[in-house]
Amino acid sequence: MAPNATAATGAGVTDDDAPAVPTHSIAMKLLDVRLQPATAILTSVTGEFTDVGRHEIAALKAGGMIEIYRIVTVVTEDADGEDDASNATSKTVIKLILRVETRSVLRSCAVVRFPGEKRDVLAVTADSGALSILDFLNSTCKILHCAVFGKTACRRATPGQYVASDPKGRAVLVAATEKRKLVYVLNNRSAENAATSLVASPLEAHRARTITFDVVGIDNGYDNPIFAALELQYPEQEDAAATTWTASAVEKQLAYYELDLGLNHVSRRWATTTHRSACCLAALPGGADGPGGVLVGGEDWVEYVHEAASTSSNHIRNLACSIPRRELHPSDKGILITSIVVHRQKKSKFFALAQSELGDVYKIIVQLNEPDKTKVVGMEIALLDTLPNVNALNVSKLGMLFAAASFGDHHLYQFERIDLPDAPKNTSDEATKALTASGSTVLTTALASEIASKFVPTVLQNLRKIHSLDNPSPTTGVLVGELAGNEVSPQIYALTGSGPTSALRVTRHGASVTELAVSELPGVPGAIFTIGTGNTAGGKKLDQFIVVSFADATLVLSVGETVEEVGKESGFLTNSPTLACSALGSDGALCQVHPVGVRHIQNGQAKQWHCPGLKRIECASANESQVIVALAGGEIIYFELDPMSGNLMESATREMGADVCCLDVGTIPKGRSRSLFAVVGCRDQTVRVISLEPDKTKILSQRSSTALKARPHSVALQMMNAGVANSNANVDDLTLIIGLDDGSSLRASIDPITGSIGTSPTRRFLGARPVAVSRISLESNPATLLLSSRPWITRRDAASGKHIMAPLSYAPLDHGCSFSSDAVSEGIVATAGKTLRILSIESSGMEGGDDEAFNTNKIPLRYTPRQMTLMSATPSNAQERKVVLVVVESDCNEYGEKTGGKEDDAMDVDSDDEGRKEDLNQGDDEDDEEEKAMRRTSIRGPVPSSPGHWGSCVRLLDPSNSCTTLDCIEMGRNEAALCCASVRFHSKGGEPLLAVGTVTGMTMHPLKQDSSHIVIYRIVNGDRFQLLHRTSVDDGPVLSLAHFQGRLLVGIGTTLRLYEMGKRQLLRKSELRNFPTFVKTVQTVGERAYIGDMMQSIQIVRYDVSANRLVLIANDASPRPIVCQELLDWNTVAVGDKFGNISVMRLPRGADTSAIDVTGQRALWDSSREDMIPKLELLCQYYVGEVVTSMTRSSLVAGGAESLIYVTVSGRIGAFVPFTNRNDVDFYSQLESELRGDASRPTGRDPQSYRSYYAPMMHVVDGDLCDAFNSLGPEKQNKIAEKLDRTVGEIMKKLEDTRNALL
Amino acid sequence: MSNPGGAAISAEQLKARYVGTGHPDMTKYEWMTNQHRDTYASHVGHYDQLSYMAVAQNQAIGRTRLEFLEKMVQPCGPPPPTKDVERLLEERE
Repeated sequence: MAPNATAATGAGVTDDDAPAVPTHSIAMKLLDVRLQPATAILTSVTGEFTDVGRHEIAALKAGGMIEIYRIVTVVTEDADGEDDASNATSKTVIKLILRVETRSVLRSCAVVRFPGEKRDVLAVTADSGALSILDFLNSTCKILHCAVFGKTACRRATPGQYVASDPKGRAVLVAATEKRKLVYVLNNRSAENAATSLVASPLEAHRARTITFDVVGIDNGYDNPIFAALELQYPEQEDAAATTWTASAVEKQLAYYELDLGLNHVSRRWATTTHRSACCLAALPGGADGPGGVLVGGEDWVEYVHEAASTSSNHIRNLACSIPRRELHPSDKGILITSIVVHRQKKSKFFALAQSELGDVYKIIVQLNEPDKTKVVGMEIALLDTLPNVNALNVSKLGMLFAAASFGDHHLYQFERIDLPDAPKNTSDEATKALTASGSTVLTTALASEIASKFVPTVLQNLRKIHSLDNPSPTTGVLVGELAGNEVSPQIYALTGSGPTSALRVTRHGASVTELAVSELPGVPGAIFTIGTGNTAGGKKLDQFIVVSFADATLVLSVGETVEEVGKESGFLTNSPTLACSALGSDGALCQVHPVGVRHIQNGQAKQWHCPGLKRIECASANESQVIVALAGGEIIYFELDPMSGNLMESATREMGADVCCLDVGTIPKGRSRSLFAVVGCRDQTVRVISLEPDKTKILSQRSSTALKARPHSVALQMMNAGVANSNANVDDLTLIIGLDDGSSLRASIDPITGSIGTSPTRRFLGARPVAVSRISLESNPATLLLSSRPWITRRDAASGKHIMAPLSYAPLDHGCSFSSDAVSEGIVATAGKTLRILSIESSGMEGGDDEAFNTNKIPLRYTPRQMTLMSATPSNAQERKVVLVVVESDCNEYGEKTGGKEDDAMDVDSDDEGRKEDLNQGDDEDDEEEKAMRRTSIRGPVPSSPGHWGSCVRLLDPSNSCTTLDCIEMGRNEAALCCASVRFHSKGGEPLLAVGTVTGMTMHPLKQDSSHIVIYRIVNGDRFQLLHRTSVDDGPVLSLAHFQGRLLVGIGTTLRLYEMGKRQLLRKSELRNFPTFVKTVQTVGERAYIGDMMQSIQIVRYDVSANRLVLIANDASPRPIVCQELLDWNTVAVGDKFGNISVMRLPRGADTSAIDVTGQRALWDSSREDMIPKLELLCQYYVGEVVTSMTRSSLVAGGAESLIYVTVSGRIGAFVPFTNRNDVDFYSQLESELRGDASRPTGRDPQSYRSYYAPMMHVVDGDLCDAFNSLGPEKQNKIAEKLDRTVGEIMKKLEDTRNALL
Repeated sequence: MSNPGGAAISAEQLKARYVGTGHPDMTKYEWMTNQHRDTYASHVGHYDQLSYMAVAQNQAIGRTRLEFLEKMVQPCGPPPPTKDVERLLEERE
């Protein structure tokens, strides 16, 4: 990833420095921690899962998660707070209700509604060789049944690839890719007795040599259940050998499989030939509700097929209708319908939606015969809108469309209209006419494009985008580093998306912050306060003043339309610092505590209380009726507002016995007149809770105390709203939050009656500075702001009752407190240096219960990003170096952006395509920005008619300026940039240059290219590319580049070559030929290069300087199709392969000492013999579950321990954390082995065998499985805790600590 | 191998029951075809691999899935002409 960095670490390291301990004896244990779960949805279905009447979406996610989403409308009232309906804005969002971890490779699901039930259950198949039926009643996952029928893994002949259910819930069909189909009869649940199980033993409906493309349950009313299967039978081997046959000559059939409930037998009842490219099915309503039968989607055509509708007389087999086509789409290129969904409306009306591979969504209207509506007489296909490609379309009963996108964000759309009178459309009558005219029965692309009506994709016409779920899939690259320049902890930079959804995502740990205002202050403030006054319209307290305290002055700002400074008229003492201030009572009185006294301001009149003698007030705290001050020496004085006279009365004093460094009086609970407790932090490292009860004997008496490891810096008493766990809503939970001088925070509960501090406070290290805490409000719930070297926020999640702590993605703040005004209903006013900032916190990043809070910025890119690299550049005007990010993007089968009109006719078209993409606002001037955003949709550009067309660019981004694009070079001429690297040629003075590997006119099938190049750019002024030269290479595509020994090491096809910089092109210096397949990845350290082969795993090469030779010193014994690699140290490399495994391999000791032969004679025989080459030792092995596309070794907190961060194609971000001590290894290994037996298995997959999918897992602990401990029942938790000799709380704390150490 | 009842099952039956079971006279073409069909079926079963390949080819996942399933029909092209020794001898005569 960062060749400069690797080269730097490698400098001066030789094998002689290797430790004396044999490398093989050093065990390596890793813990796999999930930072962000996979977001790709492979399929989703709608149903009523958790309760009757709830319309929900069940989504199967890559990485083995089943999630239930609900579409909810949230009504938020405007900040004005007037109880006016017009002010309330409603927002429809899609909300996660339940997440079930299955630890298996999910494949398919079907909704089952048992006869007589009003709720749905889900039939799921995975790689477990079992069919499981899951019930999500009351948002919990219950496994109703798990019927095992075959071997594990996604095998060709093990059923599980497809599931279909009978619409009446009587049977489920499970099909394999080839041959096997099993039908499970579901027994009626109402007759629940112990003797009959839910699922009977399966009935076989196998058919040899038959490949299944899709299955669906036919709606057949209450007749025998029928399943339709789209299948294809290839000839037998013996027959095949006898007669030559071609794949295209085999007929694809739609077959009806009937389950005879009386005979308990399945038969292939009927079959008809469909067009050859057919790939998806959808059943129409049948029985009493409609005509029955299925829609078959394929290339360019949608057919309606039904047994009752088939006629032998008509020469046209099935009713077919072509789809409207895009203008300028090549007429010989078919457009595949990839998914169809049928939506039932009220009164037995229905329609279907189909999406093409280009993303166009069509509405299919089925015309029925008039009187009885039992026969289909025609079809009409009209364009609805263009959406991103989806894996599933879900129409909700509320007029919403959920599109589970294949790549890029998932969207929720609202239908604006569904009758499309003006849309481009085609009918089946036209198709019948054309077919009759042509005299052929074959549905061809040529015929379809002849009759198709044409359209140009535009913005959304009939749908409105109302909500999106973030989906970074596919993620192709990752880089971690603090590149923004002004933040404390590193950001994660990920290359995500494909085609029009491509984006660079910058992910930060924590909640995102919007900066609303920044203004300069005359000095560095020492404290900041806000004063809320009686203006409590709509139950919302608004702030009147912001008080900023300096070393010798106080600045009072009044909050109105604008924030303005007010002087003495506020009544404040402005020539002295302020220690605390607050509104008193409800009549607009204020109180200010300054070092020599307490000032009570009433109607512009100030009353003073002066400190006795020469003592000064050290610290103070105040709320609406109570003021407490601490004098030097440890004396505290308590004042209370007398509600009768409105005067502040001194009511008690007490000697604490130690200097007080912080105190907090708390907030007044609703319906009370005072807070019952105050907390005092003393310099003797204690925090004490004192009573404020007015009783003479109790007042200021100590209730409890706790000893700390460091001096407290600030304390806060927080009234956390009671979670669900606490059913008694009247009793608010009192929480004590302490910020310590050593940069950590403590959280403990306080008994609201006795005031005793709860045991085992939760401690977390927050940063390098003493922690300041203050109360704020977030989504009308109390939260706490903690300021250290980075700002943090903590609050209690209302749903789970768990305390969530997350950093804010913002620069460090010095002081802060809550802020509320007309414009900003819930904000923070804070100071950083000499600036005053008003911020608001986006709390959505803190939802989701168990996940870490992350927030993401998206920077759109033009094509699918392939690789990125960091470059250091020197701007002309500045002396300091600047780090810039280079991203190479390329898309195959795409016209480039600038090629239009120059080369051939087809390209003419495309020149105006970008314009179409960008600014298609239809000239509607009144459309505001928000409306435009709702209408915007990503449209894939026109598809070239022949393969080998590429669109590609090289982009320069500035990470310190929110990743703005500085320069972007379009490659053009079908040249595709595939890889890039920063290189410093020592012969040219070590200036950092950018090397880009490109191919021109590459086709995938067969894999060939016209030419390939290495292009060298200089970065001028840190903001512009300058092309130096291009070097043509002829041995194959350039897939990897790396800086090596002051030169450039390039993987070209099967050759590894070392180049030196020349004047007009690169000069060959040395090469090593005959790598097994393709050189996919190259990394270098010192004189070693680590080469990842596309199929044959890692090869380690050493450069022999004296002989100018590259020598192979070791390779791997097992073949791994390498996707990515990352060096862990000089001898160790981690690789990710195409199947989703991560392996760590180490060079055996002494392997490379014999490789370099000083005499130069042995090279004749040694390197050619395969068995002479030392083999790498395997240290760790683990199946992640998704293809790992990129890895980087980095730490996620500044100065933290390094871990291996990886991203997968389906959007997961994970980390392999090395264990540092034996105790942790023992703990996690034991916990993992306990949980292997006790964690639930929704799909029946054994967690250990899942993680050992391709090869046995080695030395890696499954962190996901360990986290499952939190979701176990208390009985199982106790059982496991007993076996581990720990308490449940200790185990949970340990799990939390591991995560906290990482982030 | 035997049935649950204990009776031995013949190789013929075994071949019919389990797709891809080899036999001594298996040709290279037959073996390769089987391997490829297994591979394609596995790719189709793993969504992550399917999407990885779809991104590389800039295709819809549905198109990639259909292509893989279609390739299962004849993954290694049409069968090579048989080298039946007897038939060749006959032809020579």
